[in-house]
Amino acid sequence: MTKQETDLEALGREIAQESAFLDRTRDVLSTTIIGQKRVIDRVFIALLANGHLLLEGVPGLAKTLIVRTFATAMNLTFHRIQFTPDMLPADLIGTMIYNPKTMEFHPRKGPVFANVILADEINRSPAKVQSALLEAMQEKQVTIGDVSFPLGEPFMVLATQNPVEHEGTYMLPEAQLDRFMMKVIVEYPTFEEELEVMQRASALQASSEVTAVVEPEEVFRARSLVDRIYVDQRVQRYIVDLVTATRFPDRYGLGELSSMIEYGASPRASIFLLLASKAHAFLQRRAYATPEDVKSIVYDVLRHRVRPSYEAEAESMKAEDFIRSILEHVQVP
Amino acid sequence: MNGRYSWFRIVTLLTVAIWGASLSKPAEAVLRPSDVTVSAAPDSLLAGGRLRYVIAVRHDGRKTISVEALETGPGSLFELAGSKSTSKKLQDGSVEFRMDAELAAFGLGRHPLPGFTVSARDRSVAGEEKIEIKPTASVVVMNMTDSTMTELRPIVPAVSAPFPSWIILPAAAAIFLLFVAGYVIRRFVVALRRHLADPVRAARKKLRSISRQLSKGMLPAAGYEALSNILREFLQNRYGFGAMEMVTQEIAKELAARRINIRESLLQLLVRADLVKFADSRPDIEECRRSLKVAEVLVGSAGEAEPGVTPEDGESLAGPGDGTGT
Repeated sequence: MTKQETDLEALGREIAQESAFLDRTRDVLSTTIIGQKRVIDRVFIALLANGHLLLEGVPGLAKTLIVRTFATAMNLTFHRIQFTPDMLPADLIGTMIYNPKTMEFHPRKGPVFANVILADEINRSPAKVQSALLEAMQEKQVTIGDVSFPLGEPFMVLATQNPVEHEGTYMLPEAQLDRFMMKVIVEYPTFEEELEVMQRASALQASSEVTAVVEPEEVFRARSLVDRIYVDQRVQRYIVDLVTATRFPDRYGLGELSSMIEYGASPRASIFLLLASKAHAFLQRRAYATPEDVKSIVYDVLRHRVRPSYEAEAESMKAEDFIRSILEHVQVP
Repeated sequence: MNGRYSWFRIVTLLTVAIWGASLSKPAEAVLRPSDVTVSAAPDSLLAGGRLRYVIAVRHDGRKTISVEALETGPGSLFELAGSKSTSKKLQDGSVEFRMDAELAAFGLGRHPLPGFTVSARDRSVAGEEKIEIKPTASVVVMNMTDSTMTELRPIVPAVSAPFPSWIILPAAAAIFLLFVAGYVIRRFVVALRRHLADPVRAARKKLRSISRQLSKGMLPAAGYEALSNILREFLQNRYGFGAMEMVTQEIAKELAARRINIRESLLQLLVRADLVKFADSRPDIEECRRSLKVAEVLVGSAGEAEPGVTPEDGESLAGPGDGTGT
């Protein structure tokens, strides 16, 4: 057995041990959330890969409940910020408050100072507020007055977009969308899930209170293990192939998509695909990433980074259709 | 000397005598003008009308007869529209050569029929005899229109040659043979193409090639990678789904959905290859050889059985576990 094999075997054992918090968190989540396993997995991936999520779904699909329960179970501070058209950046990041007693300004931190932020209906606020949040997401710090304050670790933003109402909204520009690691579509529950949701919600007794079952240190240890997950050159090349195919479909025998895609995914997509694949492998308790991991998260990582052209929109084609075609044409290593 | 000279003289005289005799032998009369008969119909026609002109020559059958220099064409009142020559053996043993010509007549008035030369060539004797014939019969060519004419007179239709019915049978036989040959060739080409493109055959050939390359120093890890590609290509060609663009889990779903009999053993090989490719697992050469042999057996059995009818064949793989926490 080679050293590499021995290392991976040891890493596999460590992962098996350190990933126990995932099961504990899932158990807690299952007491309040019915279904939505895919969304929960994506939240875990974003947490482990130090990324941010954009959730899109119609109202009433338990987006806020998922994030709130997740943060509580993980023992992380949680703030929900409802974005509105009259919101100012200071409402988000904080501002300098004058204290007449000391005759000094002192900073008052805004709701962005938390481990998990739910930016609800981010597209309802004007561009400058969006920019303030996205800058915080990128820099992991905010500046109030002359002082820069680092944001807590872990720091994760889960923003929601409401696809139904478009009036009075400010859609996120593509450059800012690119900062979200994944865009997850929250689907309707299945018939059985909805039946259970209805039965639970109609119970007069209040639902059980969610308790914290994870320490932040466990998350940090898990992150360090995710960093060590082995990704073979073949898998890395596969990732770059998929991303490149969104930019130059004709190189992969998809010439018909050339006119359908206005622009393809940025290099940030490759980075996030790699990180998310490693995190997905961690969720599978594996010490190495495979193309299966890449395929599992590729829709979520690429869908908001591939812009359909007007021609594609006229034919009701979406980014998901392009990604499906690309997956069907790019050879798996 | 004198004796030898006299012999030489005798031989020379004999030769000259034989040659002279052959020269002086009177040539048989090959043709006489009375052997040639001419007929034409009709005896009167309109200008531009067609005239059937028949020349018949009787001979003893040892000659080759041809008609030459028929006085038609530019400068003549007749134009040759078509001709057909036949020979027929008669009851008295003689042979009748017959030339059936179609002439278009021009120029008004009475005209003698066009003259010609009959050429006879005896097959046994060198030389050729020609006899010039000037027919005495004539035709009357009338004006196409006259003052009494009230409607257009149609041009006499061309004399059509009789259909050679004897050709029907050989032609039909030839067409039939052509069809049979085409069918056989097509069957052969299809079978050859199928044989060459047979996924089982192609996969086994490649697997054997990898085995040979292993003996020549190919790394077992590279052997496993090639094995994975060969198996996925085989699945794609044999069962028609895009296995080359699928991960092992997707292939497993496809195989399960199609109830393919070799799926378990095949998946074991693919999973092992995945470990080699993605988990940097290093197999030894013997394990790689065993896997290649198992793959060859699996591919062969997949080629024999139609998908979706038989249960798992129970092939087992001897190989270490992944050991990486899967």
